[in-house]
Amino acid sequence: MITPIKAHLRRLVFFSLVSATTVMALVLLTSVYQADGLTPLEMALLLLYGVLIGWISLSFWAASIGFVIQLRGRDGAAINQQQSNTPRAESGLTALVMPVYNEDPHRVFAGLAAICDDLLATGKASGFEVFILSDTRDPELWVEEEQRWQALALAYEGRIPVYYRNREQNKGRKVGNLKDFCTRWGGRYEFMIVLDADSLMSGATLVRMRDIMSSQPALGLLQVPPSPVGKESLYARILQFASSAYGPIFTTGLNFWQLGEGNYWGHNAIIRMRAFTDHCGLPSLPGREPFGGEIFSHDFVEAAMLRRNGWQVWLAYDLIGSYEELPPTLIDYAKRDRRWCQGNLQHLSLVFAKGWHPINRLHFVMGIMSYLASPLWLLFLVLTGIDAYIQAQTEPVYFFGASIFPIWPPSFAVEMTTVLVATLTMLFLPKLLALLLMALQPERRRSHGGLWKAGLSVLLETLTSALLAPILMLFQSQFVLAILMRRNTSWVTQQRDDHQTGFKEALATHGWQSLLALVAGWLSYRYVPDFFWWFIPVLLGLVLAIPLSMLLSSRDLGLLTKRLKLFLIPEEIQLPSVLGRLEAGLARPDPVALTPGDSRFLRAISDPQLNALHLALLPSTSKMSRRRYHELLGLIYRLLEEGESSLSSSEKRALLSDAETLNELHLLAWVLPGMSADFGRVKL
Amino acid sequence: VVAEVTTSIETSDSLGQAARQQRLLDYLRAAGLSEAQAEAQALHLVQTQGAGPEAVRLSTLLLAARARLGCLGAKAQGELATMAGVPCYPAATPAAAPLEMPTRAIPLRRFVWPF
Repeated sequence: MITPIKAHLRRLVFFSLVSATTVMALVLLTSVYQADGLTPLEMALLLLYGVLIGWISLSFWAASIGFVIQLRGRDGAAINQQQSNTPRAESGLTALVMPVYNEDPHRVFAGLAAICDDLLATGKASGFEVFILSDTRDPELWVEEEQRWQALALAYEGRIPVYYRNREQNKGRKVGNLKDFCTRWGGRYEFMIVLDADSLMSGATLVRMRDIMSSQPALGLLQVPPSPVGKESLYARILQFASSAYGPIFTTGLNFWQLGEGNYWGHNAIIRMRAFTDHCGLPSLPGREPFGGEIFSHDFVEAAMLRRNGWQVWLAYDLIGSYEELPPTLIDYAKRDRRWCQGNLQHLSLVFAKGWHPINRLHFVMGIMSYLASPLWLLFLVLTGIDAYIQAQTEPVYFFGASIFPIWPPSFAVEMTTVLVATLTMLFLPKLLALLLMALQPERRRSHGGLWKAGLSVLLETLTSALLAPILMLFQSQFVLAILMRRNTSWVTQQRDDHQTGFKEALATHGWQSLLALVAGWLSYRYVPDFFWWFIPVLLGLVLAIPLSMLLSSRDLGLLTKRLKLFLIPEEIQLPSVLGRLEAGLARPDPVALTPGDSRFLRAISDPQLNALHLALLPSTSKMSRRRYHELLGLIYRLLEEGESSLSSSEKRALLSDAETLNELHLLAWVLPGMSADFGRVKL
Repeated sequence: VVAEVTTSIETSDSLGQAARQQRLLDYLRAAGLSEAQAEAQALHLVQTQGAGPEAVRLSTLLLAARARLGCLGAKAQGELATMAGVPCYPAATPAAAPLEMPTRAIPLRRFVWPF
């Protein structure tokens, strides 16, 4: 294990490198600006550049150090490589918990079945239990979840217990969902492994996570970085490749300095139940949303609370077999970013709270900067353009006083070029280091399609990310601005399945970005032509945003690149067993599938078996109030006279939530002359 | 809540005796019983209601069937369900094992040097 002195030394080295790089870049730029004295505009530019270059150099040095450690092949600070990882003979139960909210039940339960099968294949499934924590509000999905839970629970009965509950009220969203689980059943478990709806984890990884937790009593939380897999759109495949190729050096470098003060990423992590329940009861923040109220991005805060109370939080960066899925299109990615942006900006009020470990404060800052960097870059660009315009309007003066000899303005081409090259190097060198690592490590090379294909993929990914960077910059700037103006984000479910972005959607989403780029391009060309040519890389992506977004969403192009062995990831070359099980599960005939036009809501009313199942899963409720009684009666009359389509989703849920009403509706359905076909036609 | 509606529909005699008998059979089949099992059970249900087939209400018969199916909210399956081979689903949740999860304060302050 790393001693405190070694830990301090690592952090001293890392932050010294980051600071030195930032200072050197700033000194160079300052030497350019201060030749004729610093104007307020130039001072603002220097300040912005300092923040941004510091942010870049943090990633750069993490990647560089990660590269060196990966090259060495061993790491004394890797929690997974500790000699002391001998699990106790008797571990308590481990709950695999999956909070879900209006997700596709077919995918969710196929994923859980794949995990269960993989776990059983290890022969060490004993002690694991699965818990589906449903906050689903959609009545169709709710009933489907129950059907699929029944099938799953029966399939693994006697081997892995599978439990399910749907909360009556989704108070506190995901945080409230997990808290409800912990307070009702937490005493049963020593550990819980939190999964996202699209998470997949191999059985061996789950067992290993439990063993590490069991052998390290000071460990409160162990995060395993999830590798994005399983999507076939061009956009998702490029991101999957980037994550697979560059991710390891970044996470290795991250672990180099964060050590036992790691972070929680919200899922694919194992948590010690007692530590969590004792210290991670989240309060509401004072004030109103978006900064006050419920804490959106709870994971960073929970990691900080664990650390505040002496528990260690580690990143098992070298543990494989942890997967997640990415949004398939640029627009879906932006939607997800909108939610994450709000959650991270909310941490602005938490950074300075008392009691955090400094590294946890840095995690908060890094989360904030992931989004704040975009408007800062935008501001930097705008101010640079204004500065260039002012320079262009200033007539150079070559003769001073009575001197007949001209005084040429000093040239700072070398300094400016150095600043530019240094910035670009820090942005792009990590990609080259990742490629170099592939060149030096045969297994890594093979698992990305060979060196030439991987090299071409890196080149294409770099070009794509360069085109996308200004688009994401505008998206994120828009999000930050909206949040700072207290325009709230609704907590919507993202679309996870592959689908193509159409022209109308692309135009509606990116139209303003392209228009803005055209106007900015024209202004710079008209008034500061020298600046225009430097500006082109930024403008190009924005002008092409609409076709780019459509092309990148294409599954056909994604599959074409796969056939060409581009953007390959190890999981596409050799399918891990858990992913294979998921694919097989999704490909099997689906006994729970509905015929088109059929309604699970009506089936839950009329089908004797489904109705019984649903009733059995309803929590026992207290006596109904008169008001509630009249509300339900109104809904029943509406269903009978106007049909299912007259009821909203929440009204259907209300009918399905009351056992007595549902029981009676069931009898009524069978008494009606045309059964459920009569709903909407009954004249009372 | 719905009982009044059901009664009003039944009172209007929307279904004849044969249709009611057929509906009961359909119900039992939908619950998973074979044709022969359904017929035997339908007869049994009508007889045990203590009235002739022309007098007994369909909702009464269905209620009796559901009771025997074990479908009235109980987790255990009834006699008909066993006969139909309807799988007896396991418990949806384990026994309660509550833990306290107290809300922990985060003492916010306006500004402090983070390191």
